Amino acid sequence: MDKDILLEVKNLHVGYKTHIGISHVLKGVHLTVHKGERIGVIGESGSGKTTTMKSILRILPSNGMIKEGEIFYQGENILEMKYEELLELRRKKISMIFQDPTSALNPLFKIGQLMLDIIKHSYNLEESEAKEMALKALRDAALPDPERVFDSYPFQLSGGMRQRVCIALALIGDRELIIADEPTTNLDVTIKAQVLNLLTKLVRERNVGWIFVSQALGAVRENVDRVYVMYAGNIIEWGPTEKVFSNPMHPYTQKLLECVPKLTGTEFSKGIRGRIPNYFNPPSGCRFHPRCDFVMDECKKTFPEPVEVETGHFVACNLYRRR
Amino acid sequence: MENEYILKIQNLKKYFETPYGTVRAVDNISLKVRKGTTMGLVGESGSGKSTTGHVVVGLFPPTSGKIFFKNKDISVPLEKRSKELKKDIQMVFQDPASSLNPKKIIRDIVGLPLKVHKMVQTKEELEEKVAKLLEMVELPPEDFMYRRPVDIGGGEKQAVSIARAIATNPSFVIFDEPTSALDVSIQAKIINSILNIQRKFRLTSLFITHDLSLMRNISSEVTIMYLGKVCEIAPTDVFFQKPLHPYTQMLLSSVPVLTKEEEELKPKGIKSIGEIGSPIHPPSGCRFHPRCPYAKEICKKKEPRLIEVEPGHFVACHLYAEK
Repeated sequence: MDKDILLEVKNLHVGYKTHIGISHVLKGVHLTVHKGERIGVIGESGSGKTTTMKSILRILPSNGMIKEGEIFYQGENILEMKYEELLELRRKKISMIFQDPTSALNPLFKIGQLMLDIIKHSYNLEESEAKEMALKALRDAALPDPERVFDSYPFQLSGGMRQRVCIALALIGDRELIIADEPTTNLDVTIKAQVLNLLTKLVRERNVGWIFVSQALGAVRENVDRVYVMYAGNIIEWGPTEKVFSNPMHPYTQKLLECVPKLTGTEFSKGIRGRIPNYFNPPSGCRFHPRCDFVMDECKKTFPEPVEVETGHFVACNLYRRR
Repeated sequence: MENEYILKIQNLKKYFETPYGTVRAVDNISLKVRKGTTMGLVGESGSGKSTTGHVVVGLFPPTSGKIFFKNKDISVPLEKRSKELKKDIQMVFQDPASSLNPKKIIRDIVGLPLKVHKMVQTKEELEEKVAKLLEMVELPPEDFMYRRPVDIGGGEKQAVSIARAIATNPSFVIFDEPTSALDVSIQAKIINSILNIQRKFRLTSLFITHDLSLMRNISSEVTIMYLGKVCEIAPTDVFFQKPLHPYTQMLLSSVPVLTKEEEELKPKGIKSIGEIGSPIHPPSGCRFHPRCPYAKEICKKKEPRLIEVEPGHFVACHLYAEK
């Protein structure tokens, strides 16, 4: 590895306890982020994207349990950190931007108060210095009239502005890794483009690592260096963005890309038959096999070992194993 | 007969009174839909596209203006519409979960319009018809007939809504963002059944969406709306080759795409800026002027008229007025 590794998730298994049994969501997820690298994680709803991200920050709901695996942040295992170390990590190193900016901001406090609390707590600064830092963060997030935003309640701002505030909050200080979980899903098309442009610009300028989780395949393609494709709690394909999108190998990735309507108006896809599996009793072997057109006997038995099909482009599918 | 207009909207206005002022949701729009075609109605939130659909189907009476359906004036409150007319215009809503009665089984949900319009006499007849409808949307009747909405997935719920909408054999169906709550693989399936049904019944439809790529694949004509006004109307092919209105260009340039061919279709040299204005106090003159890179003095004062720049291609913008 030529570049330094910032975050490494290894063989992560996560499940949720529910009143009708244990749902086995993640089954051996792995992920690597280098310093300053932009990573995309794509997959449909219920594929385990958010669960993976929440595991990294250890903010899973109380019924979530990490059964197996390791998450290294600059060599330290996050899963073994003490509470204080974990707080320090969340305050200064890794931050997260959520899908819904409305529920991410406490409606009872002004934006300024929210920001000051966070900054004062994390950096032990005086009120005036903290305010300066907050205003700078708002200005960097391209918010018009930062002073007014500072003095507003969340409900007084539009959805796009609220998400910009969340971005400003996430980028305060010297962050090293930003996790953005569907940051633009709730926004309008033109606002989406604005917010994404802002995020990529800031991430590039500050050279921070970025994990961009989204179902919007086009948005991921246009903004990241490397992409991971998730299906039913597994990473099934990963590699440099351009290679994965122009030459998808896994049958699921191929179908998924076909399903996206194109501006050129080419023949419309028939969709993927079946639906995402039930996690209480997931399919054996490759979890995609009940929906796959190329299914073989061995797919039902074992999860395929990943194969490197071209430099840096890996696929976990039995179709490519015998080469 | 091909050129016959089935729906004509003339100077339609729909205002809503709120404690903060009058919301001008739809402000003086006119459009026509040809028999057997699909008109795509595109816009961001607050553009008035859904309100237009709701007024056509009769959920709200128009504030002023006329709607003609098969040359009959239908701009009357719902109570005054004839049963025959209600049978002829149907609607599929955006959120399948809240538009299906959770207490009823699928047979009764799809069968209700059949009973209301006295299209079936006996229970056997009802079940037989419902089974046929479910087959049309690719739901195996034996699996779905006796289940309730909570037991089935989002895509399947939307398929049920579509089956219900076509139960009365309507000639006009309004689809209000039928797939925006669904995953792409499910979306592809639903769109396919919509396309099949349209072909089979020679259905005319109004398809409301914010997704331009989807629009490309299903509609024959496109209408772009912004803050209650129509910006541009064009046949789909022409629209994507030659978008004229600056807002349309901004919208198109904001669409994230998957391939290089698509990228070539995106207008260059325009960037998304600003946010959609308030429908209570809309900007003066052309409502898009605060965000428009080409805005001139006249745009702030005078509202542009919708003019025909080439056959079938209409645009409301001062840039094209003097030519």
